[in-house]
Amino acid sequence: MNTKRTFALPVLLLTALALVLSACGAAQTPAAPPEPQVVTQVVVQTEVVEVEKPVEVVVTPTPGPNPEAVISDVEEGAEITFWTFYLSPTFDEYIKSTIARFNESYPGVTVKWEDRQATLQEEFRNSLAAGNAPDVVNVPTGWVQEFAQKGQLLNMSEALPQEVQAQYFPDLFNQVNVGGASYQVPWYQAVDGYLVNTQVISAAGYTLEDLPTTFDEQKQFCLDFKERSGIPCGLRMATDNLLQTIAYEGGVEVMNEDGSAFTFDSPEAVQWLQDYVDLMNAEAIHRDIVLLNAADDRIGLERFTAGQMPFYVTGPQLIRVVRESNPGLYGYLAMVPRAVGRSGALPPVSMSIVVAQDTPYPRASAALATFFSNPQSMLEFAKIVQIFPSTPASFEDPFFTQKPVAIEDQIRPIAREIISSQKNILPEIPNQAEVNEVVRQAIEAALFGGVDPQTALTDAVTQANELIQ
Amino acid sequence: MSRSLPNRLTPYLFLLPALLFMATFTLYPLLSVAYLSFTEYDILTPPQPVGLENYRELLGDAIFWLSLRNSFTYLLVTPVIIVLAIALAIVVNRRIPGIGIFRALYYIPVITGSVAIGIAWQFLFDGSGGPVNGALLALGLIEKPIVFLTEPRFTLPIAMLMTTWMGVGYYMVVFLAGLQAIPEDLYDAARIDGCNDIQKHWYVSVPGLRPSIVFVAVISSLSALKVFDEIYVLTNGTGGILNSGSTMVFYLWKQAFRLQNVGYASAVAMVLLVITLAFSIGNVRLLERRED
Repeated sequence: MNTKRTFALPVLLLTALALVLSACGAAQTPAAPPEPQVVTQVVVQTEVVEVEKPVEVVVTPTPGPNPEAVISDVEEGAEITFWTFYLSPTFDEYIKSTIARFNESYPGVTVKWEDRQATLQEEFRNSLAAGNAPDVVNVPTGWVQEFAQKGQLLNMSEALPQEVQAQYFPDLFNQVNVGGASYQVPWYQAVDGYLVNTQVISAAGYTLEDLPTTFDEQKQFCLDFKERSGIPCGLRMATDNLLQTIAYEGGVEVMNEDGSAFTFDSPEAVQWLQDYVDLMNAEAIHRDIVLLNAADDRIGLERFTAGQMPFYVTGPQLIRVVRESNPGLYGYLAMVPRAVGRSGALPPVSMSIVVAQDTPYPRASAALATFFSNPQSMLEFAKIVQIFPSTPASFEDPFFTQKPVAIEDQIRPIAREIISSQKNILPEIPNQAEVNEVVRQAIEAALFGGVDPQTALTDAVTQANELIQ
Repeated sequence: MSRSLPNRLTPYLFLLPALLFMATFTLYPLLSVAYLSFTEYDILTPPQPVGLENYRELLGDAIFWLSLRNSFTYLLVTPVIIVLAIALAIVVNRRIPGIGIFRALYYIPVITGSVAIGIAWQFLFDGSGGPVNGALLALGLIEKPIVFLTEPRFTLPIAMLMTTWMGVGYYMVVFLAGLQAIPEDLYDAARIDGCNDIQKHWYVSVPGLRPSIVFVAVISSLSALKVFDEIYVLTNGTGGILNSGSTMVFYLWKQAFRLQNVGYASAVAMVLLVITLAFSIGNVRLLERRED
């Protein structure tokens, strides 16, 4: 039975196929061809018209050159050492993140960062003598001249393109003039002002508005304040560079025009020293503060913190020291601009970055120096501590126009104005360390030894002139 | 019978490591300083020979002579410290309960850092609220506070006082060891001979301590000539108003590391070397002669 069914199915299929094929064959039978006709049809046709029209769209930019990479031809594979001054551990995070950004801008350059503290100057000097100096070093600006005069630093006026030099306040870039060139880039700036103990001044019947704005007013204020309250002022000279104090406060020309002789025994200089002698004789200034070294600022701050002076000339970055010592005093502090000297100018209070002359990687080193001091890096630094940028562009950030909340920030809205007016009015001083020592002896003789200011300064000028012959 | 060469060399071979060490860390620096004293050298640029110029300049340098005078004045510390240390050693050389605490207390300044001590002494003599001024005012000895460390006449005496205070504990221990080596029989004999307590120490303790006194005199006078820390800390690294506290070592440090006159500082160092050498030899000879 199965065999029969297997056979019947193909037969049935073949029969059906034959019927279908026969039907098709009938339809293809040849006939007369139809006449062509013209008919009208509606079709859709698309036209593309190009019209230029500005529109705002969100796009992802194509990667291009890093705007912070401003130094070209940086040595491939450069390994540079960078020393900072008293920044670790407080600012480790900032330094490391800035180095990371630098590595993005200058891939292939390795930076080895080390922080140095009290012995930085000696270490840098010894390393230069030994031929193993770091490539890039952060130093107080006052130290730059010594190293530059001895040919140990890279000439930044030559090493940096004009557009890079232009990122700084010009008077800060040129603040250390050695042979007509700059050997540093200005890093962070401080603004010295009067840190005022409002409790002390109000107890004596004064307000912030009564504080002196000029050197002459300052003398009178201190004399009056002492008489009224018995409390002396905390004035302090710049002992590392006393000629700076004489020049700014006294409006004194410290050298002649061609820089061949000192002239700081002029009537203006004698008057300046006499002012201090008068204050000392009236006990209107602290005897042990007036010639205190900057490194011993803590002593002055301690005295201020103990309520023993109406104001102290210092930067807002040191308010934290006062706050830690005497938290109760913090609410009574105020920060106002300090008195301007007879020169009408304000001295820069700067930190610099220098590059060693003998570095094997001058371009990479210059790149690091300018990177740490570029507007972006400066702005970020200023946001974490009360320092101010040396770059005008940083001040465009709203951060600098915000209304200050903390006492430390009171100078911030006027910081740009102050920093842009800071400039070095001193000529290049040869043999600066020894000349400074001679000037110090003269000032000590007048203040503590009873020597007449004219005699003290004339003797000092004679000695100083011998040093530069 | 003559010794063979290896035998004769053996002692020198044993001495060699020490000699090498001394040659590297004593003789070489000494010769370098001697050489630099005839040069003008500022560390950053190579030394330039100037012959005897540095020494000639020293003769006319008023601050050098002041520093030299101050260093010799500082030697007054030596007899004071010897007398105080012997007195203290006698006082603590007793077998009474708790005496160990006193011995330790007197020794504490020796093991305390000079910077910490300097800051404490600055506070003691502070012109606005220091305890010394407070005491003097309370006693009616002064009418208003004295800013001691800005008065040139006080700088050196305060530094000398600080040195004495810092060193007396150390020398006390030296004398204490010396006292404990003196046989008790000698004191018994002195007592039998009718000595009172003071005479007993004058006639027994002091002669018995002579070797210790020689040692302390040499060591403390050399320390006095080389004083630096006290001056540096008390004057905040300035040497005091009008160099009133400047000593030889302080002056050579200032010339070398503040003013970068390394050649000139080396000349000061050579003068100091000659003085200390002569002083040490004289000191030892004098005391040895007395001993004979």
